[in-house]
Amino acid sequence: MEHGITPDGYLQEGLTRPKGGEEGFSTFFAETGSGKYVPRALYVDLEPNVIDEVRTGKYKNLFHPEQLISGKEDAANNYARGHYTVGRELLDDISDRLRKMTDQCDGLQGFLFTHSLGGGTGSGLGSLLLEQFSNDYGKKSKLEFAVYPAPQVSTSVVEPYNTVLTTHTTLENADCTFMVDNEAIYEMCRKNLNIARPNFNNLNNLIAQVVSSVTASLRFDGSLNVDLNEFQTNLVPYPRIHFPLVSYAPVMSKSRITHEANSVAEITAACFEPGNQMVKCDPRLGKYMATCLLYRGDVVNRDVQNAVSVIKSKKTVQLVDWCPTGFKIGICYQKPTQTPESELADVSRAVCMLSNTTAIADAWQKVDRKFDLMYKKRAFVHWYVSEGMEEGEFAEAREDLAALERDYVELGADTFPDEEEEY
Amino acid sequence: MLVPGDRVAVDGFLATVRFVGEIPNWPNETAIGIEWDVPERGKNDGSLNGTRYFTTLHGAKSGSFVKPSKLQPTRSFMDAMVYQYASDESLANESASLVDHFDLTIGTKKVESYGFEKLSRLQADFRNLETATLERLNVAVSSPIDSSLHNLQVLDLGFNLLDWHNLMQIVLQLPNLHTLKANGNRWTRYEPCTPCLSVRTLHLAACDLGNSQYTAQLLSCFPKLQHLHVASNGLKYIEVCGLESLDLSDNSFTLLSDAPPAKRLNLSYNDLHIPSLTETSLQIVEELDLCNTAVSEWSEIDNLAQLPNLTSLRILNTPLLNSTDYDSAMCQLFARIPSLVKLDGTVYTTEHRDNFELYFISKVRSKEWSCPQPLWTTLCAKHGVSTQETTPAHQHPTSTCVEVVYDTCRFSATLFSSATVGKLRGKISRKLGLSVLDFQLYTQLGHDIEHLANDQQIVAALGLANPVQVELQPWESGLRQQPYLRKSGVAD
Amino acid sequence: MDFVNVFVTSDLTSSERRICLSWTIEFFKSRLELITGVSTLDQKIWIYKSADAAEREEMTAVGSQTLSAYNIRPHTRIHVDDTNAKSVLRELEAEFSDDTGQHYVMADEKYKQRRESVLKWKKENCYGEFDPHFQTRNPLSAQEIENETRFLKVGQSCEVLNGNTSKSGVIKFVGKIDEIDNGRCIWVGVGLDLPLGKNDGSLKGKRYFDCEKNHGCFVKPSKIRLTHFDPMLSSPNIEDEI
Repeated sequence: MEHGITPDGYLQEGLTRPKGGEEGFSTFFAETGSGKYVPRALYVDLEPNVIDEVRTGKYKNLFHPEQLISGKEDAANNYARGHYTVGRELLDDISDRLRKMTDQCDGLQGFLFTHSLGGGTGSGLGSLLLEQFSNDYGKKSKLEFAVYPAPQVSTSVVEPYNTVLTTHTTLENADCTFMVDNEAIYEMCRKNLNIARPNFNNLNNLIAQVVSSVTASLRFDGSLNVDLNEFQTNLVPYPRIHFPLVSYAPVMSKSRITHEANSVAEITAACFEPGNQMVKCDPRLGKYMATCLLYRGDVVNRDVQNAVSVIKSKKTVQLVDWCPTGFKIGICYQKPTQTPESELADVSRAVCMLSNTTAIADAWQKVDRKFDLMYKKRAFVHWYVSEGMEEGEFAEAREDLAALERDYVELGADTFPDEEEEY
Repeated sequence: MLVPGDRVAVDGFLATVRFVGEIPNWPNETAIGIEWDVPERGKNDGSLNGTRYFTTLHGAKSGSFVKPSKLQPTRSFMDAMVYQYASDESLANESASLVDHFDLTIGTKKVESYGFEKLSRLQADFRNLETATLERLNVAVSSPIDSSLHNLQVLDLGFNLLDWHNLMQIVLQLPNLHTLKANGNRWTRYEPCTPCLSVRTLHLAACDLGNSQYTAQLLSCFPKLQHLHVASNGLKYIEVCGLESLDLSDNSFTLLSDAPPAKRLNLSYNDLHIPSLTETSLQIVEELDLCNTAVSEWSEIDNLAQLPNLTSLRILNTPLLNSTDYDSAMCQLFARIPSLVKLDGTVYTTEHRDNFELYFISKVRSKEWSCPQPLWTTLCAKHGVSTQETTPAHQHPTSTCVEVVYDTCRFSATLFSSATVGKLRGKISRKLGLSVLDFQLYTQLGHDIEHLANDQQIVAALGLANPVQVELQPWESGLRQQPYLRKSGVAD
Repeated sequence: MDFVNVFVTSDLTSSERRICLSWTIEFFKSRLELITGVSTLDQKIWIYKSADAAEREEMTAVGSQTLSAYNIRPHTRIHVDDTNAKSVLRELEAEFSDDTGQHYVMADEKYKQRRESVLKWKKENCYGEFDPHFQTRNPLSAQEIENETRFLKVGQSCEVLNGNTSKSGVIKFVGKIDEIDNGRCIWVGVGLDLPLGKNDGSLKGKRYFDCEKNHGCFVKPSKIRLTHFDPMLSSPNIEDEI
């Protein structure tokens, strides 16, 4: 929609070219001979139901049947099934189709993955594909959007296992992982959008808006993070520390559009509020390795400078001084677009903040703790072993995550005596 | 020279001039008596040491006297455009690098910005501008507009000092303008002017239109309007027609039937009830927002069902919804409003609706809920159940009278025999002006003092012989919901 | 195929799942085990007719009967109870809710031996504490001090942020403290409303402000949040307006 493409892949009436300039646009879409545009995307699932919905849904004509891959048997919440048994059967098929698509690209920059960390398919097959892509495409960038398990309620009892296992496998293979925690999104829908009972459509609409903002500079005439490699350069000081926190503002309901002010200063301040984050954690307690503020729409230089000065004066941001990454600000002139079904207000400007903060280590700690309690009893481990996984992989993965936690501590360390909390 | 009715800015706050002259406090200077847009900013009601110089409209503390030197300088529209979009000093420097550095460091890190110089260059050429925001820039006069601004489609002139005449002068020079935002401006004068045919969307929130005698004339300047936002204006009525959407939130409407028709109508934050709507022109309403209104009875919802096209409803934070749990409210709302598809932001399927209706039928049968005719017959026919097995409670509406005692206050509440404890709470809450969360109900049943804790209980079934005692509940932060906070457009 | 989306809940999990009404009870139970962790033998399954807890039906059918025997509609809630009081799951449930439990933290020695770690990277690049200039960092400049303390005035009420909690109090002192860091940084002395502090306003014998025992603390300006900041109070030209 942001590019002026109709659900069946043609340009909206009255447009001669896709919105936002050919170059940015062609990053995510390929033009076929007949004036139709096809997104450069593959949908993969181990069971057919969800993908069947795309096959019969509103956007069915946008995708080529080759782009929709589904198996027959699901992963039953089991990383090992997604990674070893059921998932492996689909691997060749996926690689082939992906090869066909990458052959069509003029200058392949890399890949964007969207998957969950807690389920069997998302964790198992997702990490398998990342491994495979690393082998097939070498150094091309691999960015992930990962749905992180909610801290309070699990969707399945083995979610902590799946999360730890997949994080371990992808730690080396992904270049940058943007996590989204359903609970944080749910809260945002309830509090900011006044949705009494948010359902998956509500959650997905909001996530889509955020993903769109993160990738806006790739798709439109932007200035910061204009290619996938730059995300890494700007946000990831050290390859293992590649989990930036995403915040977005304004998250404001349609019905409140005239009440709530939406100035550059206000949306900037909102980005530093935990209520606008995609993962629940408290960056005020951590330090920032890197921060990218990506503005969209009607924004002027002076307002941004003033807004950042205010942030600075409020002491909300403590940077890790010695880190090679820093505080960067970019702009994309295209304002965000809303789908008609979305409850988000149509606004003339928005900002998305990507920040690499030590506070996100909280997210790992919660999962690690649950993992420990379960693994101590070897609870449900046999489900994995019976799918051909070695038990040693559990311990190995957990060690890796423990090291990751230590990595974060090490980043925030370096305290002078005067940086002790309180006297 | 200033005259009463002029708009001024002092310390970033906007105000209307009410008096110009001398006061004993400042013998050698002109004093300007003003009334602030934010009443809390003021100090008096227009009188000083017993002498009245003017009278404030918004309470006894909304006025002040200031010296002329305190008034902030004003700008013309073009000056403001240049200030906002074309005054970046770096533009003068042709050799500026591609990476433009803000002059800011955080800790030891320099803040780096990318693309802002290009942005500034782009914006400085007004032909590139489709959207412009000139909020709070003290724009007061129109001035001839550069033809390079002809591509402008969206203009925000919120919280400025423009006279209506000057505002229209600006608007009429922008042939492609389709959205005009002029929130937080106020107009005390009106001169007839040429209508603007291009603007489709108009935002006039917090413009004190409720106190303006010209509201109808102002709106008539925009005959092609499709979307109107007039939130926070103290309006009791407004005359407009043919609108797609109308935002009347945070006004003073008391009855839904007083609102003009629009496909999407927002009446949240009005202290209003829903009367019968059969005689109104509201039949075209498709989306309705009634959050934070005074809706408190299910009969009001039954009146809503008279809107045949109503598909989307928002109704959170009303006494009605607060007196029950959300799940049962959802069932009742869907069963009572046959056209409803979307409730409080979430779309429900026909399968959901069937579930809700069946649950509703079961509750009516067990006499916990009541259902009006002909809805009952329709619902029963739809789900193939007999209407005869049990008669809906309301057909023989027997009412129960409950004595209520609170402190030294004693009154009686009349309830339908099907009313629940929750309903009683709602009534008491309104009568005493307490939040339902703030009190508990007790009554003597036989020899025991019974705590009426179950909101789903039917009051009539309790066989109350003794009065119901209201006791304030100690404030427990953990249990209590946060009061609904909202920002208003005027608050600074 | 007759698929419906339902909510599956148990004491530890909650999720939306797609089930097929032609599944046998046996198969359905095996699926539930994989989701909830409750062994098929210990499952007690409830089908909720509505949100109202009272209206639920136990799934008692066995083996090869299919789910179509039950009135399962879209978004029906299906809850699984664990009847085995000694199951692993029950134990986990108790432990998950116990916040005091520690989780595995890698020992220093082991971390130092990792092939790839932030520690190694820091050492290799002389970052942070491995920077030879790190220990001799200069004291704050006058400008930095001004910036840090501009909004902090003695007498203002404030909150001291500490972890997820905060403590309310009043600013009693703003300035350098030799006893802590030889006057390198600016410290804020706060008189706390409750005895949650560490001292009485004095440090190592030197008094910076007066307050009761354990009501005093000294923190960095970054830990202070002002509770009442009224710009009108600080308006300088107040006499120009009446």
